[in-house]
Amino acid sequence: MSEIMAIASGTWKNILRMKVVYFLVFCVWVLVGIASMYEVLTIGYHKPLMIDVALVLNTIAAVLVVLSVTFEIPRELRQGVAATLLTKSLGRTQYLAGKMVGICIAGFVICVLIAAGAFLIYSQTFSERIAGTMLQAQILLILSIIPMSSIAVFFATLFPDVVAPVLTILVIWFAFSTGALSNIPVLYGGILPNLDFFNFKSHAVYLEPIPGSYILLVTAWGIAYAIFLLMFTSFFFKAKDIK
Amino acid sequence: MKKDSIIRLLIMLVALAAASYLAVYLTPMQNEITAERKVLTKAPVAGLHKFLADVAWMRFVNYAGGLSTIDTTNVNKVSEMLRKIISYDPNFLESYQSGILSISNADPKLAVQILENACANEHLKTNVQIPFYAGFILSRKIVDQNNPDKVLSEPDYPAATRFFRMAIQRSNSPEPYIVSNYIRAKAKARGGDESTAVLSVLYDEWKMGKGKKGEIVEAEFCQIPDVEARLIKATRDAKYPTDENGKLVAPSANALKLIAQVQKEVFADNHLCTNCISQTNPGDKFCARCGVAVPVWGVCTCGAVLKDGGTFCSVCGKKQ
Repeated sequence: MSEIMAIASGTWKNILRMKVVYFLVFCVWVLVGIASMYEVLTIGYHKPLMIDVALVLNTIAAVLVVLSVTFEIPRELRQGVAATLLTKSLGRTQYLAGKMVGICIAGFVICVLIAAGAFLIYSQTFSERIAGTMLQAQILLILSIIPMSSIAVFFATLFPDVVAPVLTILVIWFAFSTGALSNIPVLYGGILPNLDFFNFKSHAVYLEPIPGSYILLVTAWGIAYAIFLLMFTSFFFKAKDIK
Repeated sequence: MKKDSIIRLLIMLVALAAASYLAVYLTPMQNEITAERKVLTKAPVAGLHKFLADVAWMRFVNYAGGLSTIDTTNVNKVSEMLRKIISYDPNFLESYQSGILSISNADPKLAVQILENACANEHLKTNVQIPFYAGFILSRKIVDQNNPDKVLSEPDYPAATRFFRMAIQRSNSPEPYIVSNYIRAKAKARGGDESTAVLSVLYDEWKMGKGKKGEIVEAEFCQIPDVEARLIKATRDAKYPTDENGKLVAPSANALKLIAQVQKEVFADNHLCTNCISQTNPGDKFCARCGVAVPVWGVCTCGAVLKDGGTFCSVCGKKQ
């Protein structure tokens, strides 16, 4: 466990040390704040727009954080950093788990920052308290980082850093678009990821509550799916020739 | 196979089974929480439906705002934009309230069709305006603005009645304009003289409210507020109908028969003048409005007029 956390802390510290991350967080806050200026263009629909923009931008931020691992793992493999790490007592599965946990923590921190700022902007702009559903929708979005990071680790392990981010984005895109195909739940959400489980943007806008039991179950699904994909990846990674 | 690989394989299979089990359980749960998922566009938009609806809405506002009018020459593009918004977010109330109404003069059939779908929307089930708009469009004759000879839609009063009724049933205290439109549309659907038809509609509604269903179909009625006050006005209008120029004309035999029935059943205890259907006051021997003799009420045996709400006569002290 300590080995996993050592890799994880290296990963999330690497991301959170970058100043550009905070600049991007600031940009997101600015964009969320700008939504309040759309009162005329939306005929008074700017309040729901701000809630939605905050959720969409936070999703994009989560995807960008997750994508960073698709550059990091291939780079470490190419530069021999991974080989050096793996000559120690560290197992390959632990290395992958550490990367996944690290990226999840970094994602959580950044998304929580964005969500907190967006809530502050919303409450200050409209002099309103934050509705529980808005918070629930943001929590679900943040939790979606868990399965997303396992997808990123999977592609980062198998493909070079030119292909891995593209494939990761494509799979995340389609995993969020499975609404139409979720009639085959074993396939979508079992073998293939169904990130649409975490998508409650409309609910947040219309302030319709999300049952707590659903959030718990979907968290359990995210963790179970991430473990499955991580173990699946480890079989390939074990067979991979690392120099 | 090494022990380590077997353990990893086992963990993987257990996690897969758990994820599959949870997915099977979560899918119907999610569909129940978000009923609108069934009608969302099938396009792979990565769950950004709401955001795309917002963007499409802004594009619509921008486009429609630049038009001097929405008519048959541009309605297709405007309705396509609105359909896109609704396909991304069927709960987008603004698109119905401002958007669909804007195309009602150019494509009333499409406007009604979209509003009818919105009436069935679970999220909008308490909205009063949507069924009202549908009823409003259906109760008008709409002609092409560019070619007044071309009729785009004839009034469909039975359908309009259905939507107005829905609007009334969705509200705890329906707005008077919705009730008036409902009564008028229902009366027009019955045909014949309008004032008599209005009286007939209100009389049936009153009977329904009093539990005197008779041959009335219950599903075709709703609780109209102030039905007796409306009946008084309708009876007066039916008794003294006017022509298009506002000139008094004689009521039909059917109207008089209905008025007599209403006066007997509804106004028996209302102290109304039988001639002009005006309220009479305690002690009145003649109607203050038309001068016709009216039954005296609210008078003690000593001849004094009883004070409102008094238990005893204020002149002779007799208990009433």
